[in-house]
Amino acid sequence: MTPPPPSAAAAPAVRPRSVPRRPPRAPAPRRVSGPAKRKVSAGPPAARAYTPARGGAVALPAPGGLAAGLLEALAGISSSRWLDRLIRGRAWIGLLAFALIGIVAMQLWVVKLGVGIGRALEHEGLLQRENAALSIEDAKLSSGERVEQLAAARGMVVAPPGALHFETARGALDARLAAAALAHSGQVQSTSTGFAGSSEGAASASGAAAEPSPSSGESATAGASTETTAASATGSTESSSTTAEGSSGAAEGSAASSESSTPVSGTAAETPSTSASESSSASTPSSTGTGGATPTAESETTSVGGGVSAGGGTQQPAAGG
Amino acid sequence: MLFAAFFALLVLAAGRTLYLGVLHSSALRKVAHTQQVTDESVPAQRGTITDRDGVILATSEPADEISATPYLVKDPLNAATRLAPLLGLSRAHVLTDLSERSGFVYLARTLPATQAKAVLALHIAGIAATPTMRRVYPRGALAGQVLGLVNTEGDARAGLEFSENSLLRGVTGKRRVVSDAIGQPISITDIHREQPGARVALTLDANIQQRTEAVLGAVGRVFHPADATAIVMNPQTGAILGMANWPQLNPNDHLVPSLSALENRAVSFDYEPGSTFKVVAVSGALESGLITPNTPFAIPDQIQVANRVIHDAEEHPEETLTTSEILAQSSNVGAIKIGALEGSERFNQWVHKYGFGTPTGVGLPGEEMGEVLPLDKYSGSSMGNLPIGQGELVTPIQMATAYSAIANGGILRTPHIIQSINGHTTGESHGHRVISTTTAAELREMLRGVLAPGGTASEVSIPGYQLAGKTGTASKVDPQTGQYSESAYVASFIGFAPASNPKLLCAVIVDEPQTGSIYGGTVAAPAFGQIMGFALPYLGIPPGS
Repeated sequence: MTPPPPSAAAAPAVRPRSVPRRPPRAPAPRRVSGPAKRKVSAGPPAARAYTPARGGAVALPAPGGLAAGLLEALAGISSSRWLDRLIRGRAWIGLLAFALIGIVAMQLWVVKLGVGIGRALEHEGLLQRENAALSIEDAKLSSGERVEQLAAARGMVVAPPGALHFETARGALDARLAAAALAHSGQVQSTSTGFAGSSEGAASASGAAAEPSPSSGESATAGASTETTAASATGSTESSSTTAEGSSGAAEGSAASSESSTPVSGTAAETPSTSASESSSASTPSSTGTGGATPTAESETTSVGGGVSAGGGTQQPAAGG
Repeated sequence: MLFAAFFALLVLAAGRTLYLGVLHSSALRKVAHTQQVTDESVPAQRGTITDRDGVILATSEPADEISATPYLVKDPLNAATRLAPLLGLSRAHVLTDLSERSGFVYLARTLPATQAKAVLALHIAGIAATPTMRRVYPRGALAGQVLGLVNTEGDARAGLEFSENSLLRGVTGKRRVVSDAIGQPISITDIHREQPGARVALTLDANIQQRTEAVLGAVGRVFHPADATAIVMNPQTGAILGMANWPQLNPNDHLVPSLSALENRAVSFDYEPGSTFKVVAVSGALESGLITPNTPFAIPDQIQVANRVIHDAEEHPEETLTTSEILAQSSNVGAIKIGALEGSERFNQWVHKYGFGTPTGVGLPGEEMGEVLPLDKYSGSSMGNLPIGQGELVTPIQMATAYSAIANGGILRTPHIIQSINGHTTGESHGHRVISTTTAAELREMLRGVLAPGGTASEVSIPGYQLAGKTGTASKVDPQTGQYSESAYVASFIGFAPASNPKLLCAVIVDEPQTGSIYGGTVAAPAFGQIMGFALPYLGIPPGS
């Protein structure tokens, strides 16, 4: 063991009270983060100042200077007092939690959107299939052959070409007749036994065959340059001469008789009487029953028109495949 | 102690993370990509073919190809039992497929999507479905040869399906789907969208087409020909309203009996036209001013041209017939005399003027151009054959086009069958004049005589309408002997109505009628009458227009 030096041994153990105490130091100011304050130099700001160009133009700062400024601003944000306080404070916890939940929620939303898109595409495919299937079914059902078979099952026949007559439209006269026919058709409809259409109403009133109740078909064709008529009446050819496609042959007949200036050849006998009631039944299935079901001349006329609409779905005569 | 445990767990987690995220990352990424990301092909819907009124003649519906990976099917017998009724196949058939020692086998090619969905609902391991499209012809055999067909591989094989394939097929799309662990798609990206095929509207009218085919069917049942074809067209525009073939072809049946069954004979049948060709000689002579409809000719029973003797169809004493009567009675001797007046060079020019020897350009695949004898190949007896429609080959569409020119006042127009593509009307041919309106009118008037009393088709009439046309009965060359056959004929009739201002033209060609009759006037002309008897009023064509 090394002995203590003699001077040390001789020194007193306790510091004497006569030594004056140093005064207490003032507390150091609280350290805050942030950029160090620059000392303002006495000289001019040299390179940082913008120098106006001659003629009043302003010289843009050099690209390097702008980037340096941006960097400096970013550095300023990172050492901002507010940011520092935010990070050190408890609000940061809430903010972070909110951001995390938001991110998760957004991801979940994206996933849900993807699932939704997938389902929508699947639904689109399903609809396309259904659409294709329906269009195919429609094409099959509208086949002329099928319609013809159905019509034949109901006793309809295609009107022979000779039973169809074409008349020239007579302009204003036909228009007036059509208007009158429509007006009268409305009256008949109101008194009919509940059929919706005017033509049906007229058909239902076929018990009174001579009653003038022009069909809507006539009015529809009145403006045409040529008008197709089906003169298939057996007994009252003249009366059916102006009959158009409508199903109210009786009314047509009366209209024709009043407008007998247009001669029509009486080939009606070629049309079997079954066809008339058929077509009217096609348009209004119960019309034959209501109207008496007797294949009168008027009902025959009706049938030709009805056959047309049943077969081809057009306003052409004898289109009924 | 607790700290040590947590620290150990942390080290373990870090090690696992390092292993999965760094060491094994590429392999896992590949597996994830395989399992979660799929590139699906989205088949384009093939374009629809409709008639002029929008009636669908050919369309496509979604379907699936059902395939199997046999070695993944654990219980083939059970799988076959469950699959067979859904696939519409016998259990034995499915079992045979599933028992194959291969990695892939088709069970069904174009199964309707609803059935395919039911198959997939069985959740049989090793059974997969690939989306595709199935071509459907809702009207069955209607216009079968005109439409053609698409086989199970989706390849167009004939008809308009083939010629307009580039328009109809569309472009298949591709879609990237990212699925989650349970297979739910969570991200769908179209790499490129599918483009559906064009909608092609034809000039055909489904009802006229159907009636034409029905009439041809009746001809087939009565006369048992080798085949028959008919064309209905608007002579004013060249629009084809009906084009029928017999025997019919149902494009829904992918098993086509023979290649010839696919042929659209209206454009591919080369035949010697016979007497229907006489109008070429007559119109040329009329246009040249060599004859008039009333020019009288002394017509013996037969005539010698070079080393050949040509007879009229029926024996008769020498008589005097006008040009009109020569056409009405279809006198071979008279037509040869008119051809002789014309001369071979001028006659040959008229043959080419009417478009014979070149395709009409109707736009249907397989169109033949016929065969016209070049002028330098004419022999001494050629003018004894050619004016009566023997010795040259034409197609039905060529004849219909030529007669259309007569019907419409002398303008030869290119016939067309496509009305519009995606709603855009395709251009109609303006045509070019081949004969004057006067000559055309004279010809129409002369052709009325064919259906008048004393004409070769006098039994055909449509009440109220004035018809015009020409019969033809042509001998066929026997391929065995190279000579004209005594038993094989082509009966034809080409006509139009109303005669004064034709709005509708119909050509009926019956190849080798076997029973009943062989003549155009009795085999083809009645069919013409039935077709026109329906079509004229159906189209609202008044008799006197």
